[in-house]
Amino acid sequence: MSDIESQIAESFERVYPTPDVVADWHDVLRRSALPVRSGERHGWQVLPRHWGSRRRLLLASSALAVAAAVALTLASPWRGGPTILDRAAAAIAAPGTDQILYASVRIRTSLPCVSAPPGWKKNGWSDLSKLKHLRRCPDNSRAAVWLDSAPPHRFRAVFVDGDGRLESGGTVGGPNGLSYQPGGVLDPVGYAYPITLSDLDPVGFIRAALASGRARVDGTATIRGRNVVRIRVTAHRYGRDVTDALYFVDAATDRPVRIVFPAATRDVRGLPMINLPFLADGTTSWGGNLSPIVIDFAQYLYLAPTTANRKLANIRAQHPHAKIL
Amino acid sequence: MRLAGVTVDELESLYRADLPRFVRAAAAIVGDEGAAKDAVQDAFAEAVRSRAQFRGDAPLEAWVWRIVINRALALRRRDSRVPEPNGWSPVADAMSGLSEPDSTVRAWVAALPERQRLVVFFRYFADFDYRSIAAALDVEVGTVSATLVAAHAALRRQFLEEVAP
Repeated sequence: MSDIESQIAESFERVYPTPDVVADWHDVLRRSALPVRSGERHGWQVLPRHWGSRRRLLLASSALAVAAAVALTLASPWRGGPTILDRAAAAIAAPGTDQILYASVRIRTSLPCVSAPPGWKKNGWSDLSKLKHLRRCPDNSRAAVWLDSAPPHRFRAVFVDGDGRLESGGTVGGPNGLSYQPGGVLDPVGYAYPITLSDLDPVGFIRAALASGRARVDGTATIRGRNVVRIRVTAHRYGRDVTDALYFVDAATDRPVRIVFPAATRDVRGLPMINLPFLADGTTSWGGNLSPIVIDFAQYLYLAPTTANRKLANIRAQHPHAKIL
Repeated sequence: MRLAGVTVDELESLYRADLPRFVRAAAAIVGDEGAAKDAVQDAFAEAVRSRAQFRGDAPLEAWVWRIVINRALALRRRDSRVPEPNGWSPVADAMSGLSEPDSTVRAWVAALPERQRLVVFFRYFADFDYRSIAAALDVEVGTVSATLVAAHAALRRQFLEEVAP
């Protein structure tokens, strides 16, 4: 980033601080002229009961926001020694912290790949029956993942690139998942190995890596004008330690900012987010990347454990009328 | 069954996840946080109404950002009582050096043509890549690139003229 770009980015952060606003989705629906009667189903939207008690809802939302902030703070393993790690683990495991992780990322790489012709899309969705045997092109793509931290740990991932949109989901530890296909079909897919929490949750991953000694704080850097802490994740291979990933977190908030997987990364099992482009067709192994892969986080949030948010991590709930093959 | 479009759940998720960023961006355009919140609420209501029109060929985020920005710009143009947006108007503050560049950068950005301002805005407010900016502004990626290059050149000129010894 050039001097002027850095200045603009830093200046914008200071000049326009993030406002403290309260979400009011009820008001959005009212303005959209959708009926908002209690408990009524609107397409894919189920509104909460007792909506009239707005004051209580605001208080509950505030409490959840505070709880999420506390959980985020506690789940910052690079801040200290084992005590902090223990607290982080306890915070995640404790009842009431069953939020839904939501992360959206941008993926960049110059990895050579096969791109599907435009005709292989149906209404913006990729036709998996034709794409199944092709390696997706993750260059300049976007992906989002929802992970329910409450058992059975359902997850759903959406991947969008120039070839269309893929959506898949399942449960952590399960050997199979479901992929959505155009035409209202959920197609079972078998994963090359069971998906773990580490595959989907970067904070969980880095916490475990730090605890095991596989990761260490490696210095600081600046990304898009933000001061970040660099954490190096290594593995012992070929008789020496090799870098599997560089993990960057915001120095002020500890939130994930970027993960860089060097070209030498071979075994991607358990490395976070890297398999999102391939979940839909069950190909959960890169077999070694030929060029660095950069994953930038646009969002990393813990959503409140509401019914509506929980459904975001459930692919069957997202497509209640889809036929399962 | 859904072949195209976006669900209300997905919009709600984006709304809940990103509301402060949307309001922050809208406030920079309309100059008032209350009006900005209003614009964002209206924009999401519009997104809910027209969710079937989302084609999925661009990120959902970009599609919604476009609606929010258009709503904020429309509000600014329609309501003459809305003051000049905070940060876009030239400021008289004398630059005191790189340690306090905020007002200076604001003034430089304010002096840019609107399209350049918007592109800079998306780049640094929303942290969008070129493709997303193109989708949000409904222009070609090449146009985004050229516009950003022009904006950077203008800002760099200002930087060199006013800051460099």
